Amino acid sequence: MKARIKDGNIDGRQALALLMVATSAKVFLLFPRVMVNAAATAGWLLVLISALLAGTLVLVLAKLLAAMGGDYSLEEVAEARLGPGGGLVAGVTLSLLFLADVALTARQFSEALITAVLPETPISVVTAVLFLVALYGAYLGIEALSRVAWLLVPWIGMGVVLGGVLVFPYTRPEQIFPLLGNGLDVLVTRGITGTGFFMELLLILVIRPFLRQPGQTTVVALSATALAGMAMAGVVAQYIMVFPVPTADTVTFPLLQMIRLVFLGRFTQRVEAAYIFVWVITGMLKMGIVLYASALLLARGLGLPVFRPLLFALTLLAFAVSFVPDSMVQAFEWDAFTLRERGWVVGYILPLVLLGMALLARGIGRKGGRVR
Amino acid sequence: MEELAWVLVLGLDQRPRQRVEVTALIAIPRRLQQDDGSGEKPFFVASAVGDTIFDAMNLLNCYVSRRINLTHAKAVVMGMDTAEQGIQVYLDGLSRDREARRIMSVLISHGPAGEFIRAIAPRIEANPGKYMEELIANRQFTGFYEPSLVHDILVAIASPAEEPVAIRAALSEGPGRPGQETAADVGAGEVPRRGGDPVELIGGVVFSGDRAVGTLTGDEMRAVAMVRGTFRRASVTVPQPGEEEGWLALALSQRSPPRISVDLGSDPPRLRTRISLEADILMADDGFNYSGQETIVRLQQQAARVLKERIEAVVRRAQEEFQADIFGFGRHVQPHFLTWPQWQDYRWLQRFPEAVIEVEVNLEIRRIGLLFREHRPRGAETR
Repeated sequence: MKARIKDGNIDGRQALALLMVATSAKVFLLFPRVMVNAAATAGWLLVLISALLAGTLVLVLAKLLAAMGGDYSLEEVAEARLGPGGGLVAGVTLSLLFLADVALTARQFSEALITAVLPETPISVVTAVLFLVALYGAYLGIEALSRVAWLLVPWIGMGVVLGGVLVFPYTRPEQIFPLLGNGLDVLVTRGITGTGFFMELLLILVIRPFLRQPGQTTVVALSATALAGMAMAGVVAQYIMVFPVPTADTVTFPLLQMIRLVFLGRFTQRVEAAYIFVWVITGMLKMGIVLYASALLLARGLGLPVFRPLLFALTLLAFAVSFVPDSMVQAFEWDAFTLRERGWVVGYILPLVLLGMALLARGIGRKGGRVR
Repeated sequence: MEELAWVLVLGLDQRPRQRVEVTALIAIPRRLQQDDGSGEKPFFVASAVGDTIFDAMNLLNCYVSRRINLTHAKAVVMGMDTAEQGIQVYLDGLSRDREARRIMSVLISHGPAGEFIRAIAPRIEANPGKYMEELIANRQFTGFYEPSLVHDILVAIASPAEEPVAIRAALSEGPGRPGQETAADVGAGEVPRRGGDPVELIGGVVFSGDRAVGTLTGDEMRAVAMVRGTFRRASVTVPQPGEEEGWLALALSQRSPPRISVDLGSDPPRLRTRISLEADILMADDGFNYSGQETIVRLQQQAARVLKERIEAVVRRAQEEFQADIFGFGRHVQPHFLTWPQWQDYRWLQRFPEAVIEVEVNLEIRRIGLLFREHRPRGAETR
């Protein structure tokens, strides 16, 4: 095996915060609407089912990785067991997947900002600012990203909970019924494809070497799945109680529209200004994390000793890709219906196949059943 | 800030060829901050006809120097003629816009919205936005209309569980209403009065989908609110018990949300509504001696019976005349289904007119105010 890429160490809590931000930042975009569109009043249940399935898949992958021993990442194991080709396939494919995530996230956050507060600012300027901050974060590395995430997660969580409290006057619990929404069959089928919305959990397999205790991989993955899943389901449930079906399907940015309803007297209104600040920071942090992972994966896949030089090229590429969709609607469709609902096949199945093959490929780069 | 013209009240009237007349009540910030002694109003009204709301707003800027902005708009007023043609297209347009908010109140005026807005002349408040905000908020202690935000109306328009009801507005004409039972049994424009601001809000406009199909009076809207569970507190008058004419005034409040039980096993469906109210006695025309619990019970039975009849009458109107579930009974039926397609296929709004709806009113008089018994003129007999 070639020289490993080194980049600081983080503990389990910081990794957990990192995964939570990367996974759940999408609730600020169109995610709640997509869930309602798929499962009607059971949108929140769909989130939980998808989270459960995604968590199970990530758990299996983490266990397989742990079975290889050491503190190796997915691509490192693939390379060690299946040769450079294995590492290349794992690294490049997942890197491109995450790059597409960064590009589409950037485009959607930019569109949200322009729609909500900056209608006259050119989209190129807004997107460029998002990418510059994300690039800076990714360049600083895993420790900076994870510590910022650890610092921000409680505030983001409190902000979302406070938002729920502020829109309480509009909340009607009976709107969560009928409980099964569009039906059990829809919940199962869309629950499987919905695992794509939790693909960011795969980051744990990529950053595993940087964990102080690689043995925590499984615990971190499970905790992140549970916490992100419950938080996202909570937001969707609240959304349905405020914007009942079928109105819930008409709103572009659900959380923004919910917060715009806040009116608790003349002095407690228009609070979205504060929320947009939190959302943008969360969006930029998520972009930084995923951009970092994309560069790391590509560097490992190509067998490079460093990943930082790739960050500039990947940022430029993602910036360009973010303008490929003709409109906000197309960016949303590509994210929800292509990257997520189809990308899960690549995101989960490819690592499963690679790790399965790696387990079977005895004698290649192993000693005593462990990767060296 | 200094480049914008803040619209505080927006009026929409449909014009021929699918055009719309937009009337904007625009604040003059300089006069709002400080009375310049000129005696002129701190706002002006401007209107323009356009192909769409936004087209008309652009045309307004042909003669309003600052850019028209809806960020501070408190209410959108639409004429009854416009409401009868459908309001969804206008509310959709406004809710898509980042400036306008879904928390604007929707008012349906008896005449053209433009005329209503031009007549706005607040006396106590200098700021017409605050005036409109406070006038609308008065429902908290009058109960004469329900909250009717753009959000509420849009949700109800699309909902398979309820129909919208908006605030009824008009310019004062003051004739009263033929056949009215109580003083509050009138709609906007019918309140017998003299003086004050020319505009008035009382009653509701009932919609079926996005089209207005009828109107309700202030008293009827209180009954609607009691069923919806949104009634807060108001002074309500009922005829006093006994044979002599007279009124019993109660400060009424809703003790708890109404309990609505649903039986879908029968055809038509049966709903039982239990409404719990609390009251304080404000006044009784013939000076009952409230001190005895027996009298209190008599009064509360009388009030409960009258309110039950009022609610049943409004339910009947909603079922027979409007065929519109303005009470949101459907929201209580909805949880009885397991899936959304099953609930949609049930077509509640089409079944509502046939549904058997039983009303039970439980009213408890708790307090009698600061007067333990009435003052009796010398020589008067105790009743």
